[in-house]
Amino acid sequence: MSKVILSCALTGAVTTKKHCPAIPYTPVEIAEEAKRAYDAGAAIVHVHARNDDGSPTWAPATFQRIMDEIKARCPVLINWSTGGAGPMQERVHHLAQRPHVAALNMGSMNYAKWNHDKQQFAFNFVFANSFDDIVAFARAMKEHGIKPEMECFDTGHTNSHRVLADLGLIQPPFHFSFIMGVLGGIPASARHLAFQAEQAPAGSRWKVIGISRDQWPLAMAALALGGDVRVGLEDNFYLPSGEMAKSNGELVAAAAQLVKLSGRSVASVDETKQILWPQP
Amino acid sequence: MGTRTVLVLDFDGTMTDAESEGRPFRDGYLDDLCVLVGRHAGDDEVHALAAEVEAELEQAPASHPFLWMGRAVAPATVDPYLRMVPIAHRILDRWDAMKDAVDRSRLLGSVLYKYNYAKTLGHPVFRAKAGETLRALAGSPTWIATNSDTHAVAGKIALLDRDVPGVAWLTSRVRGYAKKFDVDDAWPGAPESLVVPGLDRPVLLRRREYHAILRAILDEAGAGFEDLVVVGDIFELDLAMPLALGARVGLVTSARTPAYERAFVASHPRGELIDDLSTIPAFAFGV
Repeated sequence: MSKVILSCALTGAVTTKKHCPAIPYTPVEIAEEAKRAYDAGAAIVHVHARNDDGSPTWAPATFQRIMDEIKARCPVLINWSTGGAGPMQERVHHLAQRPHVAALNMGSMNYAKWNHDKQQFAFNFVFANSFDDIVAFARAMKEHGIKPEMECFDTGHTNSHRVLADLGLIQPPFHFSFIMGVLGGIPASARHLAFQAEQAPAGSRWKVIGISRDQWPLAMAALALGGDVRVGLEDNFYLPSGEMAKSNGELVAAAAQLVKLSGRSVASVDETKQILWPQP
Repeated sequence: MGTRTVLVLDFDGTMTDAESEGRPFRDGYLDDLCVLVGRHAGDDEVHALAAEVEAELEQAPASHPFLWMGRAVAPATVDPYLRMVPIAHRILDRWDAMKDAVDRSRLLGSVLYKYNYAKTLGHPVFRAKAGETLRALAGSPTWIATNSDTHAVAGKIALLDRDVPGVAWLTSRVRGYAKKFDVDDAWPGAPESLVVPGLDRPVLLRRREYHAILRAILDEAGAGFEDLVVVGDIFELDLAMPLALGARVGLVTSARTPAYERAFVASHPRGELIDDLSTIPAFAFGV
């Protein structure tokens, strides 16, 4: 567990340049950010597609342009999002482009943000991911040779991997992401992260996804527990110093520094391939 | 000046005012702990527990050691860097977090420690006469052995040189990552332990990594442990092992120096209490 796979979520689908000017919209902007993340140590980039005005899109042509632009710049491994707004049918077509990895949301939940001062929700919806949808996504990923990144917002989500394993839709080493701190999901703490990690079968690979500035202490806990780390403007705009990041590369560089402090080392793209797709 | 005498100085807490300098470390470390136990930075309950533990440490330093890999290896009271570790243990225990000793040591001692230590680097706070003392040692066989990052301490010395020109020569003499806290029972290069009156646990001496740093310095100088003088602010961490191997030792004191350490060094024929840094050159080299 000495190698750490750094992932970078480049853009997300919700926030805009008004929130953080560095958030990329267009395929070229996203690819430039992918290059910056790769140069700073990221082995995987997690990608949502946007229209040029920043609104989210599931258009396969946009995903294809993003993939082409990234591949023209660097060999970073590509991870397509499949989660969020829109019917399942719209969120599966771009898997035919065969990214290395794709996100697979592993369960349903209330997904909200509570504003204590105003005593009301900033947003509040049901994040629906039925077993039928999960299995269908997993089948599509298997069909296209894609490694599912099982995104788990709570312990029940983690446990649900057993269905996919039983169906032969996922292969060891299983690849988990533990998203911490979303209201409706598991709380963000070291104790809960350790508990999530305990639920993953031995030999699995897991990483923490911390939301907002809490990302940094959670990354430290993950590094101590033997996990991997995701950073990026989708999850958090701020560097450990409190300054807003000017690029995804700055966030990855900060994560790489934490890896060094932990006594572990950053996995290259080739090393990440060996870890996630071990050859006999 | 002794012909073969070699002086090795600790740095943080010995040349610096650890309490003042360490405040960003303490504040940042506590905020990170708040998040790690599921609270917001600045959480009142976490901070109240930290204050409670600090008060306990001050009351009974012998009862609250700094633990490394589950073992008592130093008093935790002397500086904020060490003090934060038992505070962190208590906070993590209270919220039932990071229960595995190895995982916890890695988190507290490696990642959180180094990450928050970095916050102190831009504005070192030195003890009175630190600059003048280091300048007076120019040309002498003096080195620095520190648990901290080599470049971090060299950077502090470079900053000091702006105020007190003539100390930059020491930057190339810094030996970092000394791991003075690391005990290797299987290593036979030192006696196993030392009994210190007033302390109801043994002082563990088999600090192999620290010994290797000192040995390399002595080899470079063509000297042995009998020629060595070590000056530091924590007897157990900096001085006990070299003393056991024949070195002379100087304990730089502060209001937080445990009474048992102070008494032991004061009564030892090769020990000296140092309340004023400017006495170090005379203590080490007789000038």
